Amino acid sequence: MDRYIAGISLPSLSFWSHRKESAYTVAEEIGDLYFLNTSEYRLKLIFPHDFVDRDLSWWAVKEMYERGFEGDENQQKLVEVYRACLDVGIDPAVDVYDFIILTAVVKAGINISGTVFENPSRYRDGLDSYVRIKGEGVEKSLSLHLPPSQITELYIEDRKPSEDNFPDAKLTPGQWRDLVSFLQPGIREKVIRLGILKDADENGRALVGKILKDSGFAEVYFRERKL
Amino acid sequence: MRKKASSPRYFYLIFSVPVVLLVFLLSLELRDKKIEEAANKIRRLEELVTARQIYRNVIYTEVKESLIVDKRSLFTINYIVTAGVDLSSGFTLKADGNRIVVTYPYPKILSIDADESSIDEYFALERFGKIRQSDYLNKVYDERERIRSEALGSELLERADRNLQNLISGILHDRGIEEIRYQSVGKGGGSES
Repeated sequence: MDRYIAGISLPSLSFWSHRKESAYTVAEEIGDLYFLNTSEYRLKLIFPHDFVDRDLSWWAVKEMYERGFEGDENQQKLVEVYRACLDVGIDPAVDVYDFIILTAVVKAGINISGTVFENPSRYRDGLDSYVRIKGEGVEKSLSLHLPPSQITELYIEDRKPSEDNFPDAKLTPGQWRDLVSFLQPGIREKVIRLGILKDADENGRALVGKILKDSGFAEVYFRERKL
Repeated sequence: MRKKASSPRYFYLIFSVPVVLLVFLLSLELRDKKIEEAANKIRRLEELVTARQIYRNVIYTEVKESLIVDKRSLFTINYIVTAGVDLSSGFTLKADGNRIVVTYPYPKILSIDADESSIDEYFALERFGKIRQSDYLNKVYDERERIRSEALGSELLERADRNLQNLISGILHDRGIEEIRYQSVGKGGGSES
């Protein structure tokens, strides 16, 4: 911790320090939702380094920012990242050793909320376009169209800075909120590029197929389109 | 000529060995403290989320240091608690005569997380010192346990259980199956539909 008066570092004495914290809950809201989550990606990310190319020249980005240079889409993204750095008190063009650590948790699967699976009785044809059963007894088979997977949850894992040894960044709660809001779209794109939706689709079919086979179906076929 | 007793060379040797060992051990400890795990993880999930509860918390933090540093912040933040069934713990649909028996683990809390994007900062005071993440994130983290207790004491898990049964009943009724029996493992027991 830094404590300075006119350049002299003060010793850390407990009677000069005082901490107070209090919290209370003001409201709560309960709701229904239906997600079948089948894949989770947990990424430890370092801002800003994991959000730009490693061989980036921060001096060039700083110049673009200071001149108000518009550039192409990629250059604009770099300028936005640089601006986000300045907003949290980091200037990577001056000091590349400042960074902020965060862990993003992203879950993907089938969002059943608002679909015919949530309440088939509300739809005229019910699940007829999604499920078809053929045969009987031990030769019974089922054809199924599952909706494609999507990202169902994305959040930054809560962290206790006093229990890890990563740098304790100088950010107010409002600045932390703004940074997280800025980074979330990029995190979403990153996990999609890494294959989370493909994994979720495969895992979803494996899970649903297993449950249905255990329940007595000899075969379960997954169709790309509605039946 | 008398030989010098207790040559200084021996004193240096005796005292330098523990000093070197101490420096070595200290440097090991310091190096350990600087190593942090930075691994990414990908895992398969088998969870059916059927209910969510949102808590809105007011948090106030105050840090005073070295007589003149005064840092305070007041903000609200939402905690999102999701509940549902961990299907990897055993979920089956079995025919029993004319009815289907659905066996599943009783719903539990699947995640608790403070939603940073919901932060509404009323003020952030910084006098002779900058607010750091440890000034408030430790409290945000610690509040999770209290939120968990509150969620467990609320109707969240019962609602998740009801929603699960409604979901499965809707699908099975649509396929012409009218008699369904639910057996939850853990709290609760079972019910008929």
